[in-house]
Formats: sequence, structure tokens, C-alpha cells
Amino acid sequence: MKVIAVVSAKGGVGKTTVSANLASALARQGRTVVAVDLDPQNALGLHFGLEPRELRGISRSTIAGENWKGVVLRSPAGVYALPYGVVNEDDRATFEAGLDPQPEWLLHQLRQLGLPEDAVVVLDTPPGPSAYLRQALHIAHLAIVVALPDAASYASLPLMQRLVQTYCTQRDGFVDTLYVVNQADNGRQLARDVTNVMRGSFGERLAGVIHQDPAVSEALASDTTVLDYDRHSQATQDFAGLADRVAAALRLRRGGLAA
Amino acid sequence: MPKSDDIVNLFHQFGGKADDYQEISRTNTSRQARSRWPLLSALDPEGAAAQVPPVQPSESAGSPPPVAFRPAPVQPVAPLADLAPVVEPPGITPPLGTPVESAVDEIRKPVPPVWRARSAGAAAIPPQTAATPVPAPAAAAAWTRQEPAFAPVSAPVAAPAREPAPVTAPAPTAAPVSPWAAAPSPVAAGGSPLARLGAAAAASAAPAPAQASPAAPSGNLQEVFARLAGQPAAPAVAPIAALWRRLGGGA
Repeated sequence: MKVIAVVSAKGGVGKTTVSANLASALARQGRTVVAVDLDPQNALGLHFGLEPRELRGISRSTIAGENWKGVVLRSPAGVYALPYGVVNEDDRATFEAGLDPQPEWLLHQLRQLGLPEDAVVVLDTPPGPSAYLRQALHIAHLAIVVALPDAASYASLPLMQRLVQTYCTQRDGFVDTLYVVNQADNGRQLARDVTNVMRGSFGERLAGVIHQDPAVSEALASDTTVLDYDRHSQATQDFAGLADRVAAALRLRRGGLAA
Repeated sequence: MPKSDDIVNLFHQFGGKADDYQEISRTNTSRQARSRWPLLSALDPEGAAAQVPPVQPSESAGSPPPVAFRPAPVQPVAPLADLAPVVEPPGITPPLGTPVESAVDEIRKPVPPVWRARSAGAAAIPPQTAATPVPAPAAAAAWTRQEPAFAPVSAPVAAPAREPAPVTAPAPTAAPVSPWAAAPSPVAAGGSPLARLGAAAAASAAPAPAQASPAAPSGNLQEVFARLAGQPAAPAVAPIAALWRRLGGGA
């Protein structure tokens, strides 16, 4: 099992969109991919056709003492998704209070799923430091930092770098930190400049530039990922390229059964 | 949203309650916009704000269903080589490569209308919503969305050729045409729609310019207001035309 934590210090950069579409791109290469939503916003499942009124998810299952197998959703494209679920504020506080005392909680839950050895787990996290982020970074083999091509995102990168340094870098098994620029608009000078600055700072660790593409939001409005919504779109190409880069970093093998 | 003064004045003039007036056009536009996108059709913000039940121990009845994790089928991404090249704006050289925009008439892959099957062998559990107590085992696909309440007007999910960016279309394009939709008002262009009606009625009462509506809407309008006020339609047209002239002239 290889674990990818999709993170950012700042909200609104598109972590969930990147998580869902990256999971879809990796799955389309013939892999077993499980996308886990660790964000109380509970938006990841919407990319895979989850009923918005559905309350179940890993939060409720955990509090109820149940196995996560009961909350697995499989999309038509073959991606497995575990929603966060919907809980009231009291339950959410109870849930979060139990995470830090159990640093192995997430790893234990994933092992309980009985995933195949070559499965890839993509963790969508809430922005900034949180108990969920700490759980994700504690077990991630790869951290993907998502940023918008603007000054605010760039300014928030050091915080995430410190968190990765604290929870990942010194741990055996951690492979690398990659960066993704999301919603890049090459028609804007600032966007080009920020992207170029990041490329200068991170070099090959800038693993992907996802261009601004209306197909991405249209895909979500159509209950799917952009790779299934518009296979000719620029964003589809971008996510496919990101998946290749991630697979290379983790030395993932491609699957063999064609659709 | 407060009703237009024109609407209120009309009801005062002919009787009836301004609250009875319904913005049918806006409601229809909203419904049609929502129906174009499955997620918008499924979202119910008011319902989602309902109180969430607390988690109960072992709230999902029975043991978890077996989940057979297996690799997804291989689906190669189509190359961009067959798309038209992007024309660079002069003087701008994006160093990271050109974003290739999809061609306007590019065919988007149709989205199957039913997406929502759970993995094979998964036990069927009905959706546990805010209005539902502890669930009992039921049919499959309980995690997934029902069909949208409204059939898509342009059916993007069913059509093999998808029109680009329907959400960017101007709002009134799908609005039903009002039976008394009139030519642009020469008196108050861009102002109250009632001003346009006044101008059309005035135009029909006097030697008409080329754009005047030939349908003489004032008679039909009278009947509508009479119905709303619960009164028989007044036969006279000239007094109405005079009223519209006054309104259209800003009197």
C-alpha cells in the first residue's frame, strides 16, 4: 500500500479537486486506488457520484466503532472512495479529540480494509495544521502540496514545508514532497511568474501544473472527474501527466486490464 | 426580493394583492439552470442544514459488506495531438507551455446518467439522512444519487455531442417567451418591462412604427389582471392605452 497525502496550508486551492482527479488518473492506469476524505467539508465523494444527502462516512463509522468497509463507494470508473461523512459539532469534536492520542489510527483503519499490497491510497486533507493532517503525514509515502499561482499561496508554502519536515522527512519510508500548481492561467502575468518562481525553487519537485479549465468544475457538477467528463480537455492531460510523475516517484506499476 | 413598484401600482390600479404576483420567468430559469447539472439537481441546501442526528453505537445494522478491491480498468488518456493548435497572443510567451484549449466543437465524452453502482457484493443499506433514523438493510445503490428531479433541458448527460459551457450562457436564453413580450421601448429602454408594454400599447393605439407588436397585448393583459383581481375583464381598451402612455411617459 502506498499512501499519498494531498495537503496545503491554505484553503481554496483545490486540494479535493486534485485528490479526486489524481486518484482517477492513477486508477485509469490500471491500479487499485482508494481516495479517503479526511476533510469535514465532505466534498471528495461528490466527484465520484456520492449522494449529497448521505450522512455515512469514516467519521460516523469511527465513532460508532464500525469497520470502514461499510462506507466504501466505488465509482463507475473504478475508484474507491471513503467519504468523511456528516456529523454534528459535538460528534466532530469527539472524533477529532480521539485522533492525536492515537497516531496510528489512520494506518490501523486502512489495514482493516484489507487492501491489496499494490493499492494506492490518496488522502484528501483539510487546509492547514489539524489532527487529520497529522494523521495523514504520519503515514504518507508522498506529500503533494497544492498551491494556486498567486502570492498568497506562495506565501503559505513555508508552513506546509515545516509540517512535512516535522512529520515526514525523518521517517523511514517517506519518499518525497511534490508540488502542484492548480488553476494556472498562462494569460496572467502573476500566474506565470509565481509558477516560474516555484519551478525555480523546487525544480523537478514541481510535479504538475493544472491549467485553469472549465471542464474541471463542469465535471464536478456532473458528478464525475474531468478525466471521465472530457478526455480531450487540457486538465485531463495535466492530471494524467501528474499521475505519471507520482507513479514514477513511488515506483508504481501499471495495471494490465484494458477497459 | 421586494416587488417592483410597477407591479404594486398595477395591483393597486386593478385590485388584488401584489403578493399573488409570481416571477414565473425567474423560477423557470432557475429550474432549468439547476436541471442542467446533476449535482445542482441533487443539492438541497435547506435540507442539508437540517439537524444531523448524533452517531449511535453500531448505527449501521449488521456486519460490514465484503468489499472486493480490484484494479480499475485501464483507460488511456486521449492525446492532444489531434486538437487544433492554440494561437498565441502576440508578445506573450508562456514559459511553461501552451494550454491547449479544447476546440469549441470538440465532442465531450457523454456522462452516463446512472453512475452510482456500489461495488459488487456490497450489502445494500439505505441512505442515512437527517430525516432517517438508524437504517435497515435495503436495496443496492443506496449510497448513490437518485435521478435528477428534473429532466435536463439540454440533456448534456445524454447527448453524444455536448455544447460548450452551458453555464456561461446569458440567463434569459432559456426563459419562456412571455405572450406579451414587446419590442424594445422607445421611451424607457432598459427600464421596467412595464414601460415596454406601455410603449407597445401606445404604439398600437397610434400609427405604429415598424417594431410595434402586432399582437395588441393590452386586451390580453386586461383579462389577466381582471382574473387576478377576481373581476370580469373590462371591455374598454382606450383607457388602458391611456394608462400605459402615462406610465411609459413617466407621468
